[in-house]
Amino acid sequence: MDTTKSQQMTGLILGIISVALPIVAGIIADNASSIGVVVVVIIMCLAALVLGIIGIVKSAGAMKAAGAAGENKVVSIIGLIISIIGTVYSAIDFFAVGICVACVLCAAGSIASQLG
Amino acid sequence: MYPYVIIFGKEIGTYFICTLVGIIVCFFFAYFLAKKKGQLIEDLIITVVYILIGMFVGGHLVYGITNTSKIIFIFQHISEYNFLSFVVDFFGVCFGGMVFYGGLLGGIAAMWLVCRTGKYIPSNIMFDIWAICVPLFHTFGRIGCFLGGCCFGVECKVGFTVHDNPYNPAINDVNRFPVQLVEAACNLILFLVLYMLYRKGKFKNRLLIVYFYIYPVVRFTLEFFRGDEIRGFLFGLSTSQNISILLFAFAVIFTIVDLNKKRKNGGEPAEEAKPAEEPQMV
Repeated sequence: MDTTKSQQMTGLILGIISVALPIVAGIIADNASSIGVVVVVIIMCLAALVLGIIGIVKSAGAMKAAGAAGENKVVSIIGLIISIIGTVYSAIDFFAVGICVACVLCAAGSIASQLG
Repeated sequence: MYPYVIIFGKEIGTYFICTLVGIIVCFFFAYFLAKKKGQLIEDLIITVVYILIGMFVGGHLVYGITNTSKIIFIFQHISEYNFLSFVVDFFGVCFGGMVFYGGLLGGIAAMWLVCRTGKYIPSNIMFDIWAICVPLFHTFGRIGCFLGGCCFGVECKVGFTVHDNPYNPAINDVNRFPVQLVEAACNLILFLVLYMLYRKGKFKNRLLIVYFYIYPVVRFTLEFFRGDEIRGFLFGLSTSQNISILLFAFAVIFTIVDLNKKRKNGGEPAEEAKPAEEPQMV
């Protein structure tokens, strides 16, 4: 029985979530009509970023443990790659596309002040 | 220059792209060095992740220090703020940017903490690798600054004039000294020097100190050619110049203590260079 299977699967699942969340956030952002929705999108991207980072650490740890136990490392390698992609993708969405906390809150603040 | 590019319909900052390329290049270079010391890629990945988190936190914290006057102003007028405007001004304005030295110190702190656990790459190996990779990463960062239009130089007859930069309007329509490219070139030379020293086995376990001798001098000098004045000034010097002095002083004190220990040990190195530990298979 693989002793590191659950560790490898955890890394893979975290990686998949970190890729899926910014995609869903992007779809929601395209149809965003209120500040509340934008805040949800920011939180989703931030969560994806954090989960991606945890996914990288978990997958790398699982890879090491699997190597030590002489088990198959394929799942952890896939988890690692997906986690890295998810982290970079969510970072692009979070920092580079302009939906960083500061920018959105600035925008939200100016909208709020315009509304009185 | 080119503050952003559009990829798959998304506007992505060139600074972000350069930083990302820098991280990737440095990671593979670090792997190349660590592999020769018998280290595992998994350990390097985990260490690098923690270092990046440390760099991120440190960079923002020191940026906050450069905005101390703004922070004091916010807390003096806290009654005039609502939650949203407080978050915008405090986190967005005061802590929104990053400072290189903060990232450097944050990364070192994170690396020290990770190495202390003893689970991953030993500190004597990691600190030397870090010393070589930092200037390499910084080269990409400064190229990103040049393309993005931040950290620009003083008004000058030689140099470049940028038009229509939406992120940094202050840079527009003024001929400026390309201090970012000069710093990128200096960092590249520093990287080559440190790598040559590493290859020849000179200053083993002390390459970071060598870096602390050279880079602060370069940075201190180049700060006089910086045209942006948002970095905070203390005692007539910028925050980076003050940190440069502290780092240089640290390097001098470290060397004196190191030499004293060496003398007491009868010419033997103060701290024996530990051999590369075999990766522990648990």
